[in-house]
Amino acid sequence: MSTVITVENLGKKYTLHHQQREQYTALRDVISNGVRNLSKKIFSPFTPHSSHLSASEDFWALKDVSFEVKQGDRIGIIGRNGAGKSTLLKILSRITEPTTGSVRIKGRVASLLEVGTGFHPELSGRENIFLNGAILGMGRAEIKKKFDEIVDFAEIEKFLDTPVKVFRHTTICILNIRIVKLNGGLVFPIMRRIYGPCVKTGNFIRKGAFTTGITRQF
Amino acid sequence: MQDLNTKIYYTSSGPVNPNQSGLFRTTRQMFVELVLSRELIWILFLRDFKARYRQSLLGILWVFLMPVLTVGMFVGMSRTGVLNIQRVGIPYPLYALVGLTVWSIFSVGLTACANALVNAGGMIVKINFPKVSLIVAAFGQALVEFCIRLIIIASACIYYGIFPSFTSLCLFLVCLLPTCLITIGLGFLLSLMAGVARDTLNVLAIVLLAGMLLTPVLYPLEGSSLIAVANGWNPLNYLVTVPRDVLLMNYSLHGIGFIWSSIVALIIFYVGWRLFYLAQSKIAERI
Repeated sequence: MSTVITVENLGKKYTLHHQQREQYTALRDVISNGVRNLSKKIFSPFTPHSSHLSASEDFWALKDVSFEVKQGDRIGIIGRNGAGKSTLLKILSRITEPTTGSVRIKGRVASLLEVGTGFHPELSGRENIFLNGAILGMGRAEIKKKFDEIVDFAEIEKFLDTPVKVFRHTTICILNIRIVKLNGGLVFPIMRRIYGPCVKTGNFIRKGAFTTGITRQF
Repeated sequence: MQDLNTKIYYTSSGPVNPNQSGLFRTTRQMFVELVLSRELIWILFLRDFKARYRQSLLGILWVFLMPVLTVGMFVGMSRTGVLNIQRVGIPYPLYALVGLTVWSIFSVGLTACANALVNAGGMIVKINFPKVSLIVAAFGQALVEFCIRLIIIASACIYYGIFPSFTSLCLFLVCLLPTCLITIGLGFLLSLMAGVARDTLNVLAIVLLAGMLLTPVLYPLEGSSLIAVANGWNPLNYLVTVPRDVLLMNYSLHGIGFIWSSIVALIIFYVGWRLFYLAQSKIAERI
């Protein structure tokens, strides 16, 4: 079996800015911070400065991750909150770029990070199938060929022309998964969350997230 | 969009494609990406179009009403002497309507493009797709409004008895191309800025309003005043004036100005696009 995914020394760094005051970045903050830093550098060039208004900290979500996935494998990645599972999936799906390291993938990637993305509530079921397919990279002709298959699987024949906002959530899930699978799709990261009672307090909390990726050659 | 057997190989500096190298590599990649995403652009445009006009009749009505009301206001003001507008050789309402319609391509287009990334925030962080398609599809909204407003201009032409020849009409449409280019180019840049600092959009609204009042859109600005002289250096001045002259008067005195403005528009378009293409992988983190 050939190797489908090769990840070498993958690292992802996020820079966290700790703003004392504002919750969002406004244009005036960007400009005023820039002016302030510049004036500090001009008027006292020899004193070391630490910007007291926005302390930034480097946070490595992933560091030195390497693994290989062969064709036909199904893998699961389990970890606590903040372990880096979502980040890894985002990098594999090419939503963000790695800071260090490289990824080699053979084939197309169709990911399902969250159900219902790209679906527009005002549009009908039929229109949403084409929309979602196009966003995932399927050509219009391709979607037309597989249209009947998708509709049969999700059993929404009667509802093709009604706006998606009246669909049940599960229907949307099934629809989305089906479109993604029919993308020819070779690698797809899927996220799931595990809920269970916390040992200490007995509250029902999210214990971790569980990620699956399935690879299959066409 | 990729073949089943292609290898995707990417590192921290973006996708590495050993097949493409040499001169203008990035430019070729940009073009290939744009061509490959043409169906996506069309579908996104349709999605926004349907969502906008399906639910509200007022949506379409507003596209008609806005220029009529604005021009009506200015006509009223000039008749009562509040504003002193110079004679332009063609009926003033027609002059103002055409100017406003051309300017709207710029203002509506720029606003739509700047909002495009912010509005699609959810999709950007969850799916990988060429974000160029968002911007171009957003610009399509401005083109739709333009087409609707052409109807108003046609009615005004019939009313005033000024009938542009077929060649003038074609030339008019061709002369609008630089305006489209400059709008999309600036749209790329502004959408990135708006992703980082949300109040860019508020600032943009005010800047566009100021721009409309300071360029000869609704009234001519000639003579030796400071604004008129400054407009000699304003590319938008020529991009609005020349199409209007071509359509309504079949000639224009500002040919040279139009040529350099078009070159500026092309440069802004290319720079904006390239910057956007290189920055798009970082967008998902900052939005």
